[in-house]
Amino acid sequence: MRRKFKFILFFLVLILAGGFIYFKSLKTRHQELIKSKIYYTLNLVDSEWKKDLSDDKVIFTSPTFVISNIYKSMEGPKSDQYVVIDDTKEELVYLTSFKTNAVSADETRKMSNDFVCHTNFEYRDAEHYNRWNMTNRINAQYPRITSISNGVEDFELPSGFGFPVFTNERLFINAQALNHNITDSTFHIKHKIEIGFKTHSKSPLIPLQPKTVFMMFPYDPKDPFKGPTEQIPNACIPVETKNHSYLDTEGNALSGHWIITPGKHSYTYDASHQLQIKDSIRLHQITSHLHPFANRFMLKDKTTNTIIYDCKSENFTDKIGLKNTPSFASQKGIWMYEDHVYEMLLEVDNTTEKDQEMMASMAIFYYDGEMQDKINELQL
Amino acid sequence: MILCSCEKSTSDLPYLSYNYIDGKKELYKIEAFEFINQDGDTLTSADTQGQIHTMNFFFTTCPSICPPMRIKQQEISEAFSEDDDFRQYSISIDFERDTLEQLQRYATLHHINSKRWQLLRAPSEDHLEAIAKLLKTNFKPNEEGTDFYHSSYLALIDKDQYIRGFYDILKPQEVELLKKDISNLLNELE
Repeated sequence: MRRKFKFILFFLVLILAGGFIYFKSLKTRHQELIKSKIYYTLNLVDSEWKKDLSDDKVIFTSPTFVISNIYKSMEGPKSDQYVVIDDTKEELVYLTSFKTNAVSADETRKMSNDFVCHTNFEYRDAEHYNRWNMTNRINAQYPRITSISNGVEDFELPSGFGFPVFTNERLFINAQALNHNITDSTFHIKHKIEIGFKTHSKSPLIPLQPKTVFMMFPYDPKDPFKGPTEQIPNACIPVETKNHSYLDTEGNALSGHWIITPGKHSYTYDASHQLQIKDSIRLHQITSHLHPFANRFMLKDKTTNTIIYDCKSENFTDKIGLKNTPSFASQKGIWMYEDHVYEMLLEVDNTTEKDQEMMASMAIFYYDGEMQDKINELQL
Repeated sequence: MILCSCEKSTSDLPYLSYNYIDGKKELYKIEAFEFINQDGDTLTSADTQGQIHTMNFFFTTCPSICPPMRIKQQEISEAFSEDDDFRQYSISIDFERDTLEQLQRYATLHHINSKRWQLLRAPSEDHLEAIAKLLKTNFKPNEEGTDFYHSSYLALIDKDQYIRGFYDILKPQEVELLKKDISNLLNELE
């Protein structure tokens, strides 16, 4: 009996040791997925999303995220959620503002937004466009509405404009935590995600269409972590996240997340292809999504040599993080044309002695004339 | 975790088969169709009345999105294999090459349970276009004419033949959402 017990104990220790070695061999992002699963399954922390609806805003509160490590972008605890504003009725509303705050797990105290990596807001394109019989738009682009990220706590669309959805339409939220700096404490936090809206019946707004454009650079998929070289000046060392690797029309591998070595660097990217402008669009809003050490991010009309958006982002000086990333908003709008070339320019300064990760995207909103016609036809 | 604790189920699913006629919303049913299934039997809208079912497009020689779609549909078929009130219908958009024999071969090759999941053949292009319009989806031959474009979306249809959801079956979280919604509609029957 004693011998059997010893054998079982030895076997258990062996399994635990093997599991521990396997766990430690995983990348941080995978370790966090496992840890979150354990926390939620064992009910050690709050695992549910909550909703708080009022007349002009809806607040979604995430499950608890346990911050117990350094998390760079895309590494922290995260949660995905399908949400509806109000499934008891079908009313046309316009989303007008977006905000995310980190709060304590008991929701009584505001915490530092250094714990917010991002909140991605998405529509489901088949449901969204089929409601308007705009089937041709399905699968035409990634259905991202916008993002809140480190350095962008909140933003509003220009007064009088909004993104139209129905109250019982399913949207998708992806929230992820971040921690660039604190290693000596463990925090239990939640993300409070607020979407402001206006109802069509009270105040019809002008509809905007969202699109996200982002910088990406070529790398050698056979030897991805070597370079850049003089022969391929645009080449980058990709960050190892399969979700940010792309192929261009000629089959070249591109990465939307890349490594920046210590020091100053600048990058340019032709965004014309991603913008896919047909004839012309009228741009009304841009919100940038950058990583720490980005100093300046611009959108330039190369054809007319004019800068449309000059985002001078501000980094903290005493810790890693973006303090402020200014958005662009204009009621009048700026016209952009199919036959113009649009370039994104990024300047970074990695002030640490280590390699860091970079990405740069712009969530833009432009006037949606076709949607305006559809809305005008309705008798709501 | 996919669904919100605050998210309700069943009747909260919106009705999505509608058109605006003179600015007014008018619901329509997925009905007035006729197909032949892989066993040679005729399927009409009278057969789908009272069933919770999904409909989508495919073709047996599709080299791109159909194989991963089929794997996800197998997952759904197995998840609801005990539910007599649930069916899946996959409509071939290549009715010329997807003969009954070809559909049968495809079903056998991929172990498709024909009691739960039927592969359908339209009698003509007009029938296909009519059902595509009802399902709010589209398909078209590619430029070389050797292949087709079609979407990776499934429509979920309730017992009264109204569309209650569209799901991009290539996304894992959408498959989970679809399973949840099927369960909720099935619970409504009880």
